[in-house]
Amino acid sequence: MVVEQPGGVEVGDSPAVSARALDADVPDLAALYALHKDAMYRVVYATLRSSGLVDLAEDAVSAAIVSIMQAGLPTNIVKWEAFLVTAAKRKALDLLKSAAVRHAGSSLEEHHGRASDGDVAEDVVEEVDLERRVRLLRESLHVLDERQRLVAVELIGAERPRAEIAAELGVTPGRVSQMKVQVLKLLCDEMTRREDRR
Amino acid sequence: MNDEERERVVDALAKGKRRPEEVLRAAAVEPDDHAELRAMADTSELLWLSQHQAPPLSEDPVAAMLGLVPDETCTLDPKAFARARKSAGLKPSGIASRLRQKGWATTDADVFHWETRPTAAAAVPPAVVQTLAQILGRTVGQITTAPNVEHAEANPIEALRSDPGFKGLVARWARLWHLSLPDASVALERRLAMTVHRGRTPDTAQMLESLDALVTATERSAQSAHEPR
Repeated sequence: MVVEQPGGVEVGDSPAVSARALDADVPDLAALYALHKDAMYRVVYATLRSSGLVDLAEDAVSAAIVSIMQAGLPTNIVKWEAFLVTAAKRKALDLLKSAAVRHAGSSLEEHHGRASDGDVAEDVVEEVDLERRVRLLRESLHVLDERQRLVAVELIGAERPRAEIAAELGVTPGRVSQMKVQVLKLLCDEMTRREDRR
Repeated sequence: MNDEERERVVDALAKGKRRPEEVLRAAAVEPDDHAELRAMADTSELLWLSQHQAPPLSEDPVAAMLGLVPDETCTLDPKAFARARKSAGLKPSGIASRLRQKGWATTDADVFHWETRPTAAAAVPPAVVQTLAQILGRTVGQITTAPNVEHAEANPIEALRSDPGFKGLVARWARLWHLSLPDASVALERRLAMTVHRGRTPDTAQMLESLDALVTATERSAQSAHEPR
């Protein structure tokens, strides 16, 4: 068995590490949450965004943690981040299902192009990769000048109204749209360059 | 296709309310442009996600419930902790190492400061205090300062206090942490207070369910820590 410690160090079976010692080293859920809460929230936000239910993100994460506490932390986990992210995504999908049921006749698959539980395991690799891609994006922001960064972070990231950004920059809303497209192209190119270098 | 049209397509792709094929078809986007617009939409979504993460610990009710927020009802006592560590025959580096095994990013210097700086000790969250007690083979009460129950009056979770289910949880928490019943009640209420302070008041059943999960998980953890190795 290989256990990924929260710090990213992997401990493998070896004469120096007994199975009993590994069992004793099952991490604290609180420590895991402290380490991976951003990843949990991010996957929940990504899941709920298309339905406009991002206000329920905290409920989904909270429900995931409660369900883990009720079941107890398993001892055979290889990737704790994947375990927590999966739990959070399941709860987000449960919320989407509940919302879909409330709006009679609409099906989760129709709205989101994915089934709920069955796809979670397959999605999880992609969801964990989400954190890596967000880091890559943040590293790529240096290609933008100050005004472009305002567009990236405030307009696209924080969804501030285009008119506000236009007023702040002293340009027309149409010019802000041009800048937005330009910013996205610059970031795409920089991220591709960085991916290729790795 | 001008920039405003491209912006609209990218936004629609990023928000994912419709399938990408539908968005591209509805906007009559040339096939040669599909890959570029999808890449821009992915980047747009990443930018949005980069601004959406967990709330700070001090505003995070899950963190509070898990004992990640420092709590004056469970403050590490520097002298008592130092005595317990020496009595257990462990160096600060040994404590730090065992905490790291449990997932906590603790340095040797952190442990040293917990013994020498009261402000550092006061910043140790209850979840770490609990693990320290397990490592040292002590009760939480033996390495913490006496809780101040006067703060209970300020806690807004009044309805919960009279609930028989809550009283049962308080009794279990008191046994687990070797606390008096009033102290245990304050400690549990503190774990929930953050939710109420943020204007989200879950009903009593929800709060009891969360607390029951917390108490059960803590009991399980304490039991496994005391099993013979």
